[in-house]
Amino acid sequence: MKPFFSPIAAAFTFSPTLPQLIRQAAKLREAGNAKLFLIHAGIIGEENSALLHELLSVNRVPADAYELICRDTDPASLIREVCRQKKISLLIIGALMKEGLFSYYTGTLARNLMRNVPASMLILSCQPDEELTFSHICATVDFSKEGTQLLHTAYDTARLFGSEKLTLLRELLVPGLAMTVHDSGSKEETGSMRQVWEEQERLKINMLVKELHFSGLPVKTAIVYGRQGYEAKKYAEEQNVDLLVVPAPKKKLRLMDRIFQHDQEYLYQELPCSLLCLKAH
Amino acid sequence: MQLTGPNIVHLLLLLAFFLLFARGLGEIFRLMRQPVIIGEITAGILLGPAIFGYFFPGAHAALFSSQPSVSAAMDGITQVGLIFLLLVSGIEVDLTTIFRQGKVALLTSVFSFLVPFSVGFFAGYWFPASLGSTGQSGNITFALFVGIALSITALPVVARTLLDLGIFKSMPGQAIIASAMLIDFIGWLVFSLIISSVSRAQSSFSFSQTASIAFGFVVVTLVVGRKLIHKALPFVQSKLSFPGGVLNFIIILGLFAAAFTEYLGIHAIFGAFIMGMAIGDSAHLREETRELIQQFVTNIFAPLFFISIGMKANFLTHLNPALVGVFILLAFLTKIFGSALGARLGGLNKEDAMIVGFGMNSRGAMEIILGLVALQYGLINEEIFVALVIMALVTSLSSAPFMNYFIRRSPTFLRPSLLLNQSGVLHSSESSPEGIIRELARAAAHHCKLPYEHIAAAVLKREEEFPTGIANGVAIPHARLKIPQPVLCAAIARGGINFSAPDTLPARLIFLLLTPENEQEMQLELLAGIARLAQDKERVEIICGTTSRHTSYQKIASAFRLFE
Repeated sequence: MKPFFSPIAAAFTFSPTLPQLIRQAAKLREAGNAKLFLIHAGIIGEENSALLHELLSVNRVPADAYELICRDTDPASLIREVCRQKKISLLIIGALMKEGLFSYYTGTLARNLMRNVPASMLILSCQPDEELTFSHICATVDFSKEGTQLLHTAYDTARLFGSEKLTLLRELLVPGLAMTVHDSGSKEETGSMRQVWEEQERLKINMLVKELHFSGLPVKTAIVYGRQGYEAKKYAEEQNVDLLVVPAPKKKLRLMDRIFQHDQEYLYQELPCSLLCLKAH
Repeated sequence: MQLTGPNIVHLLLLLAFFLLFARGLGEIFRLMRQPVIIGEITAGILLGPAIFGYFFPGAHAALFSSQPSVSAAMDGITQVGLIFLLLVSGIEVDLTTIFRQGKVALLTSVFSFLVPFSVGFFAGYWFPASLGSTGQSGNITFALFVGIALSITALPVVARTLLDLGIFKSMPGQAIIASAMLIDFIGWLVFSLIISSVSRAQSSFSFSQTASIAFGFVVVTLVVGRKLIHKALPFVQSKLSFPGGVLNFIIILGLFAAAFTEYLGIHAIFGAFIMGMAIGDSAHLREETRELIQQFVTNIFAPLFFISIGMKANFLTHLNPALVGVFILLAFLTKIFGSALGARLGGLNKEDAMIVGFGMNSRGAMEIILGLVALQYGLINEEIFVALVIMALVTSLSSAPFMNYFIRRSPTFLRPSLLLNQSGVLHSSESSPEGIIRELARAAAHHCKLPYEHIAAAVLKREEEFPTGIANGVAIPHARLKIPQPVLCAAIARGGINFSAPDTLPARLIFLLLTPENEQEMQLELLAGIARLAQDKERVEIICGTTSRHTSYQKIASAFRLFE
């Protein structure tokens, strides 16, 4: 396997999901033989400090392999500063599956980071007593250079976590197609056009999979017709995907993007599962 | 005014007759591969004062204008048809498409709107009499109208054209769709404000009050209304009867919105359009529902509306050839230039920019609706109305041939059938992958001006990583190189060559594909295009059975064209 993310940061609070977060961070740290930065906005008392060190010890993180950064300041600013200064390649953070209506528009910490990513992000979404496994990983496909890089990372992640299945998902939408029935068109015609395009995409993905030559892991491909982000969310929910790998937004997402939802905003509103948002290099 | 029994009979017969005639002529035009809308308008012209009314004035008057209550009822039905047409147009405006298409769509929209609008505005302001102004509405209002009339694009017509030309999904195709959506939105917004200024006498609000309320209506509908509709749609589509429940949901919302904006003095169509946008934006709205409502509106209400257009004015007595010529010239020059300029600035190549220019030039139904509403409000006279209708039809009819001309010359629309030429097809007696790759590399070197050893080395390196045999005796060794354009060559290997295909069949038809270094998606598109051929075992056998270069090339090219 190629070298993985390095260095890594994990932003944490002393919540019931902390053990999960440390476990995944330790695994990823080991895969890339990376330095791990643990970020906490606040003061850590003796009891919590002992808990943290115990978790790190249980997950076999050597003392020289991590650095604890604690400051009583705004969490988002602290995280961005650390990511910038230490040139973090992967930030791990926990998030609620769904925010309330008000907080969706004002933004919680995790969502604010997702909308203005300082680095690639692994957003862990699970119940406190749930054992996180990534047995089914799904990655969205686009045919650009960055898209191919994303697929390689998804494959490496699947190998690292011992996944049983990797699905490559292509979302296809051709806006305005329904209008073509307006003048002499028919439902059958638009339906068959859509099938032709889906078949073309299927062939392209099959060619891409041949080019990537992933081995040692069952790779499935799926095409869904509909809006990017929305269809990925639906697919992840229906197919019990454990980790969805998507590209990070290319530009900062603002309030207008939440009002006029598109792409990743569909995912951020209600996380279908854990999310790995990959920033292009 | 009440409809009596005989009136109802008269009305029902008129409706049946209109639908029969409009749809009948529309179908004839469809068989001639022309837009149905032209047939429907032609039906109206034939039934109108110019032809039927001229030769049979008594019968014409008895049928169409003898009963005021019947005429009023027909007017109401066509008004409802008009509202529904704008409702479904709004449903197809996808704001996220506009955002996603980014710079290209934005610049194309801006220039495609501003250039014709500016020229139209100044022409309407400085030469109102020459352009047929009635003088009722004031120079500025008339000038604004001429600007809008020149800048509108008919989204449904151009969507149909793009599908027929097979470029709907392409970058230029989606740029046209996105730009036309944005222009629709801006155009109807400005036009509605024009109408509100003209109809101030009938409204209890001042112009600034109307503009503020209209703006507020747009914001509330597109922000709050959209969210509520998005939440309601899953319930409507799953719990109510399908498709009746959701169709009624859409129509009820559209009618309420139309009534609101009509009350404001803006015009009902604006409310219907904005509500359509709010409904269409929801990801929950099934594609099936969109198509159903399009079918419902365009097959029942659209023919009634368009036949009424043809009957509105006497197309012969109000035909002013000079005025028609001026409008057509202004329409072509400003719209094509503006759209192509915007597309070029957005990063499209010259040919694609011209495709966008001619695509955006389609005026179609939207222009006709604009003209009709302007006629109803006294902004324009019948001469201008006739000129606008003719302009709309001419621009819609001319789009496809011009677009096709540039599609054939555009590097964007690369297909295997266009890449392959006869000199790149050979028959070989080689028996190893290395041998055939070198032989094909020699043929390819002529086309891409690279040394054949360089080509062969790159392809062999790729072949070593993973073999390229696909199925049914086809292999596609390939590589990405520093070349400006893709190159495709083909060889028929008499004895068959082992390319380690999954079906273990030796390859007898081998394609060498070279693509530019940074064009991954282009490579995948071309590989997929060739792979489609490989799925047809029978066709591959026929190709492999040919013995002359000419025949082999013909068979391969026609096989590609079949699948493209």
